[in-house]
Amino acid sequence: MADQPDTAAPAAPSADPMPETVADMLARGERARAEMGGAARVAAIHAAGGLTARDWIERLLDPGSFREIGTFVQADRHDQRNGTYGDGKIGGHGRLDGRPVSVGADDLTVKAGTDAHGNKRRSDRVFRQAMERGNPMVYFGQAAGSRIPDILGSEVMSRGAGLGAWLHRGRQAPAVMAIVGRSYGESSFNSALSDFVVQLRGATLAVTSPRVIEMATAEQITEEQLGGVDIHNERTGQIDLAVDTPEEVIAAVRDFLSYLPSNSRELPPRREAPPPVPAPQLRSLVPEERRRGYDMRKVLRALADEGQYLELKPRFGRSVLTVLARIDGRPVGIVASQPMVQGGAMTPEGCDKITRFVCTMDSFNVPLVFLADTPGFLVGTQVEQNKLLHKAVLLSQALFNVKVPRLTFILRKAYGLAYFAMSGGTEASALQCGWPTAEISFMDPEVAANVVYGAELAALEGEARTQRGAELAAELKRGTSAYEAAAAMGLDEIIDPADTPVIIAEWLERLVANYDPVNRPRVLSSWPTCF
Amino acid sequence: MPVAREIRSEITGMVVKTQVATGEVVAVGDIIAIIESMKMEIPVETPVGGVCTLVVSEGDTILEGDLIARVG
Repeated sequence: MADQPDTAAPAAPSADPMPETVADMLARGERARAEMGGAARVAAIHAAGGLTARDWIERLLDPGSFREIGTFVQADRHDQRNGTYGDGKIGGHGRLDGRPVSVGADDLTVKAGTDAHGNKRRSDRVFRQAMERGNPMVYFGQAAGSRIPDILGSEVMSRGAGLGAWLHRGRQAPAVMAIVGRSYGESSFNSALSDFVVQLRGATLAVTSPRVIEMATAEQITEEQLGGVDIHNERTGQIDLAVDTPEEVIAAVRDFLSYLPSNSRELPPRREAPPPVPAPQLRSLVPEERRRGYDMRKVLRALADEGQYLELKPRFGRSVLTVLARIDGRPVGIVASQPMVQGGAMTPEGCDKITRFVCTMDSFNVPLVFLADTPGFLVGTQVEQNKLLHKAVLLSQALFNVKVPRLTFILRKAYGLAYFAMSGGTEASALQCGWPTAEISFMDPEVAANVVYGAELAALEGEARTQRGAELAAELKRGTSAYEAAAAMGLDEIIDPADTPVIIAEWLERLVANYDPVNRPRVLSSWPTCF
Repeated sequence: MPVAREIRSEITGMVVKTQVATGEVVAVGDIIAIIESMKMEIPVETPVGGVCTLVVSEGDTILEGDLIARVG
């Protein structure tokens, strides 16, 4: 050694002898990662154009950042341990766009990814670590249900922990579920406990599979009819986004999380953006003709920073829009009427959509912006039987408990309870503005004319009745103007619509500066994740 | 030959006005027709420009997703 210079580089690690125990462990881990539940099964998934659990995780995370937890978990039953590394669930921690994140995925190569006690301990462990560390959890669900017969019998059942760790979450950190295959088990339940659910076309989300349903009730139904993307996207609202490709799944997860902080004690990440400037196009996007509909999405796009826009549940409860956007680089949650659908009238489905959105935004300190143009709540037998009463009041309760900065803009109509359900009233928001086209009242003037002057109108017929009705409605409408509300300080200000993005940016700057995400009351964090 | 873009109704309602005729050239954002639904008039705009082939008439009742026109 004496002939070696002092400056010699230290020997490369590979020069050290590898203890047999370490080599054995590394070989086992490598085999578990490479072969999973069998090389043939991995090859079969790839041959069918699919992705394995590890592929999903790899695609999501920053390259090389995955640090696995529970690599050597095996099936609970000793007689079935051979080749069951991971026990059907993969999990661990890594980074997404540089931020810490935890991940999990159902592994179809081991026992079809079915739910069992061993893998539940692993999944729950990773989830709890995520919540305790304060970083988001993302899961790729494709498990066909519980592992039978392993979970049969009273002993096993009574040892179980029910829905597990996700049930106990209080929105400490964001939870995201991507349904990427046939999901009938724990992944389905955990989707309902998540803040964001994206479903890949061709995947199924349901409690029970068609096979079990047919055995139990003789009903025959396809997976697509039972829990395909179109069912959830348009009818049940149990997902937030439907996508067509795996690339879109990953993009949706990344996009959603980019608007949220890592946990509920932090402010959402702000991006560099040019300062907002007046948007003159906003002056003409809302028709002054009050019966003319328009697409509120155009207003939202004019308000948001270029391309910074993610609409949730776009095909469900369509008379309202719930959108994550950035204004002045700052994430905001926008709730807006959609006058193009049902005139922007509020529905039970729309109430649920807003309530869930408001709970998520408030829990993760994302300021809320309301844009109202609604003729009121939809009336009729159908909506009454769909629990309009409870849904509307639930939304009102949620709004009462919002603590995150909130701004309201009345663009055109704001009538009845819907005025309050769209965060109307100076008690509700830090700033309450009206556009010059704003109308506020208990009831739409055309309806009110018939209620107030019903007897007078009933005595008339034909054109005379129509004309008198219009005169009376016009008379009542004069009392609904923005200026009447502003005269009584029911609006803080009537603004030039073009200035809206600038006003939002200025107010959020001030409000967020005085907002304490750590010590503020946190009522909505413990509200349900589904309604 | 480019495929014509299908313009479908976002809502169920009645066609109260058609703003263009078949064969007419339209530009992006032009209003093709107006649908009345829930006492509201909803303009249907074309997201593309080209020659319009209208497949509805004034007074037609249409369902969400029904074809209104082809443009291209």
